[in-house]
Amino acid sequence: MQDDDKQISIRVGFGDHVKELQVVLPNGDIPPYQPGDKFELVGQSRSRVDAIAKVTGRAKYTYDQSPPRMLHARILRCPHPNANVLSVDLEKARSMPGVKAVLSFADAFRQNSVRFAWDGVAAVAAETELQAEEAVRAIEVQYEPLAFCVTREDAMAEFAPQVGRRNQKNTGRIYPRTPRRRGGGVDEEKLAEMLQRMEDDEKLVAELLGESDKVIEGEFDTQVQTHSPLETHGVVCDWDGDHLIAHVSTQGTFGAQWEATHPRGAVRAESAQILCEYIGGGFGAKTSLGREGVAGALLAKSAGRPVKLMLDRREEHTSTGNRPDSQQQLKMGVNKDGTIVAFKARSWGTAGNGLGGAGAHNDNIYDLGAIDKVEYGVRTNCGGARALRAPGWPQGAFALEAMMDKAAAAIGMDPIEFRKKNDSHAIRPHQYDRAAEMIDWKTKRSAKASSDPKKRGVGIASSMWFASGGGGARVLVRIHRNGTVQVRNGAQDIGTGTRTIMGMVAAEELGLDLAQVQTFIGNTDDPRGPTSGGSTTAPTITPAARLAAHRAKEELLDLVAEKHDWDRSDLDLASGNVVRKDGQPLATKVSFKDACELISDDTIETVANRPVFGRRRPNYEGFSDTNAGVQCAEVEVDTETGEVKVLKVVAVQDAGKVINPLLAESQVSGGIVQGVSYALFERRIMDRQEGRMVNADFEGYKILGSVDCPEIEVELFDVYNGKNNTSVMGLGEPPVVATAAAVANAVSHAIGERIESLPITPAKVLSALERKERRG
Amino acid sequence: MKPFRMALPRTLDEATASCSDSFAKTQVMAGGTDLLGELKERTQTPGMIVNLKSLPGLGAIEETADGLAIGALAKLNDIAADPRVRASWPALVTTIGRAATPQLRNVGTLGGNLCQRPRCHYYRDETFPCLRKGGQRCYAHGGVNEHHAIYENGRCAIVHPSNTAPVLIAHDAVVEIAAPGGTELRMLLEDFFVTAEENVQRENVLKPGQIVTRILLPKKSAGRHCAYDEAREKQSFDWALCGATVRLRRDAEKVTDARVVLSAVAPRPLRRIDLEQLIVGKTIDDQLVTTICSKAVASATPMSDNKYKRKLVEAMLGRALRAAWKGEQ
Repeated sequence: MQDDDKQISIRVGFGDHVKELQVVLPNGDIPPYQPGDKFELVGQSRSRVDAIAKVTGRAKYTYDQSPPRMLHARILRCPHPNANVLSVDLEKARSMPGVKAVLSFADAFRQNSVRFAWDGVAAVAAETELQAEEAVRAIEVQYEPLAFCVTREDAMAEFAPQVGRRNQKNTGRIYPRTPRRRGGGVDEEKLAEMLQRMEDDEKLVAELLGESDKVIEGEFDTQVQTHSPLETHGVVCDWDGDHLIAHVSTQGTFGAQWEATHPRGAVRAESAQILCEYIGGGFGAKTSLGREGVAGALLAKSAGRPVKLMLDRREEHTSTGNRPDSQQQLKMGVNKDGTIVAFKARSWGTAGNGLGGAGAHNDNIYDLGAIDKVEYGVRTNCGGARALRAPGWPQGAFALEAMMDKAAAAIGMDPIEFRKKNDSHAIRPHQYDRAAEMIDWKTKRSAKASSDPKKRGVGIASSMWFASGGGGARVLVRIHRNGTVQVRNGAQDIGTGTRTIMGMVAAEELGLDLAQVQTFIGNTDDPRGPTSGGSTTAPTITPAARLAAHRAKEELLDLVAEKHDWDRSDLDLASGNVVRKDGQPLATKVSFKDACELISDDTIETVANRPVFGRRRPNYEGFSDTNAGVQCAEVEVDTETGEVKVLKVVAVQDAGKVINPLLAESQVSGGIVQGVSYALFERRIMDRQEGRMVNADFEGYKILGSVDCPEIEVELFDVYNGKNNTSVMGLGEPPVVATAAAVANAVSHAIGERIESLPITPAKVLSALERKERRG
Repeated sequence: MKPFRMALPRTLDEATASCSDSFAKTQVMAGGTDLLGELKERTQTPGMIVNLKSLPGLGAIEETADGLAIGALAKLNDIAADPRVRASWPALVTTIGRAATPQLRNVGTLGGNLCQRPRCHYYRDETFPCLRKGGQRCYAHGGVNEHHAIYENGRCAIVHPSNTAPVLIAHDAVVEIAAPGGTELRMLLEDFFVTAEENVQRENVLKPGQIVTRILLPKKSAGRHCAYDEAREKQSFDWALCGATVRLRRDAEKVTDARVVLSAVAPRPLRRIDLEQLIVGKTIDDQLVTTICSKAVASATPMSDNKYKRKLVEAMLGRALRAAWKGEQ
């Protein structure tokens, strides 16, 4: 323990499930929010502080930036899915009207080949967008087209064309991972151990499957989903000497700054200010500056003028990431009493021309007994994967939850009872009954099928997530002599409401209302914040904001105590006033504003780092390391047309302590909307003849619209998790995990036949019904 | 988008005279909801756009001695809101209500809806030089054809995207066309559309310089009922996977006159006279519906990914037959 560490006892949990823990608080942290704590603001539903700015158009996104003398840039894209770039001649483009700067990707990125159609080759900045577009078309490129494959099946076929370069095979094991030494070489010793372990697991699981009462099998396919944020990727860059000022549509302002200033990077700015006050969605695709960001910065430098480079929709769909597809072959051994004894999984997924991120989390959530799991990545000549809201999870949950339903049916158990039987999570078992009640499970599950061609069904699925945040955030709280308060952090708000809840925890600490606090976000000149990924931003920033506000409060109360000769330890701030902790009235009424007038300098300014327990374990021991959720869906299937309508989705979701229920519910609703869209509509369609995506727009790439949106009911589980001082856990990703699985299970219930492939289109429903009819 | 010039004619003669002798050089624009997309995607790169919006009177909806005349520039939403249309041609209101989105229907016109180009993802992509764009092959054959034609698809497998056309054809609507030199053409809307065999680069008979001016709907007659139904993947802003229109005239027991038009399943709205002949003189019951539906799909020639459309034809046609018989829209 260090000097400012202290050991205390805290209470964690929810409802009747509260326990006491001994924890060590490091770095002068304050105790976490606990059951029974009284709040004035935290826990109340408040509109986003930027809601009006967003709906009135006052909020300025990267797309809206238009500095004087700004140029417009476009990127030349390669139509071939696999080719060597032999030469790029920029001369003709350079002499086109309005052109101020050109660059080739060969020079900027040392990239002399393209491995998916619509990969970048060169870029141009010109006075107008039209001139840039015309100039890009004037660039002369010599390609050497190579054989290609754009589907998993084609890439895995015998004698398939090689997607990668050098000795890269099209298919490679990604789980278990080959152990590597520091520096990159394979650790042969550990590899041998791993292979032995794999062999043992396979043998054990085969034995257990042989001994179990029932063996359930399934083969599942899921599609490639693109992120499809409404604001595409892009930048507006300007230079002041070697200092870069860039508006970036990003989920990581400080990551972008690091990339732009890294001495071995492509931009190599001396210093950089990255701005992202508002972002029109990212969903995981915007954690890097990207080629477009680098190209924008380099073109601006070369032209000596600001440059705007925003991708169009086709570029966004093809080149900025996606959720990989999957084929999952699963086996589950289950005993008549409902115990799962063994689970076997083999899966393949394509993450474009790389292998990473192609896995499916199909072996988590439930207690599955002995597990034998191997995953393969498959290279294809398609745009590469990037993390997409719970990467690997919705596809894994879709397959796993189908297996759970199949297993329950095989042993004649209710799907919910079967899940409860195999779920040892600290929170989730308490959520099933509530979700079932909200969807009216018992009545609807046992309803007799009607003679109407439209059939209804209900399904259930679960989720879990891990996010209790980590280090890497620092918040500045500034109290001015005139009583105004600023809360500042330079990270971005990707739509989750960071800007609002950061202000709420600070205001709570200072006994103020949210309206009395100004929050600033999305500017790297302010203190550091995390990249928004893994649902970590809220649990990372709010503890720092609370601690910084707490320290500012202490400084302010010092002044009050000194002035009135009161005992400092009796004092606190609440309802806009200085108050006594014991509730007794003070001899003199001192408002927050009165107290601020005692500040002799202009401001009290405090900065707090996000307290961490240690490098490897940033958080305290809390109630549960993971948060949990259960969703139920009700669908109506037209058995003559195959059309599926999701009528209702209910969600019971835990996100640790909920700071702002309105925003938390909004996260859950957003996850459900995206999940239904993934279940029924979204899919990247590749043409195998030419190797290009044929639905790279919002017409052919179908996303749920208002008429397709189900009724959504959200119930939040307020869990005082105790893992950080605000007890908050992340909520961006967990709600999207279960939705498609619940919808698919509901469809199976409605039509009495399982569709083991996403998205569930009319064509697939009709073919499933035909299969069912043939079987009789 | 390739830069272009725009003509704003004040009279029809000026409009037809502004057109050149080729669609490659000149395109006519009404609401623009389709054409602007084509210009942006560069599937069309005309040097001149003749904008019809400046023409007076072309958006009128007027009663005539024979029925109703709808100007080519009438907005889809205005047509659907017109009390005369709602009273006498309610199936047209139904089909308009399912087209595109409220925003697009506020801008899109009837003439534009009939003359819009196919949504085939190969046609709409500049990088696929398909037959319809003057290229050498149809990429849907051998490619992704889940949303394509199951009839008349041997050469080019687009489906005609208009869902007002089948309903108008079922009502024996007539189209009026202005041609250069002040001449005027009139034909049944059914004859306005062409097969891919007749012309693989155009979906209708219009020649450069010809402009659709009015659609004439014959008066409602007693005992006439029309029903339209369609199936689609998504209910918000999507295109039909298959549509069926049935218009009947009946007495107490049997059908005296019938029109059957299938849509989104062939390169043109597909009138099925063979099915109509089987209906006339009969009572529509379950058995007849089954017979008609099997007959309807017997001639289908689905491709690798769109066999399911046969089921949709059966379902949609069955529903439209029953609804028209019962007098629903």
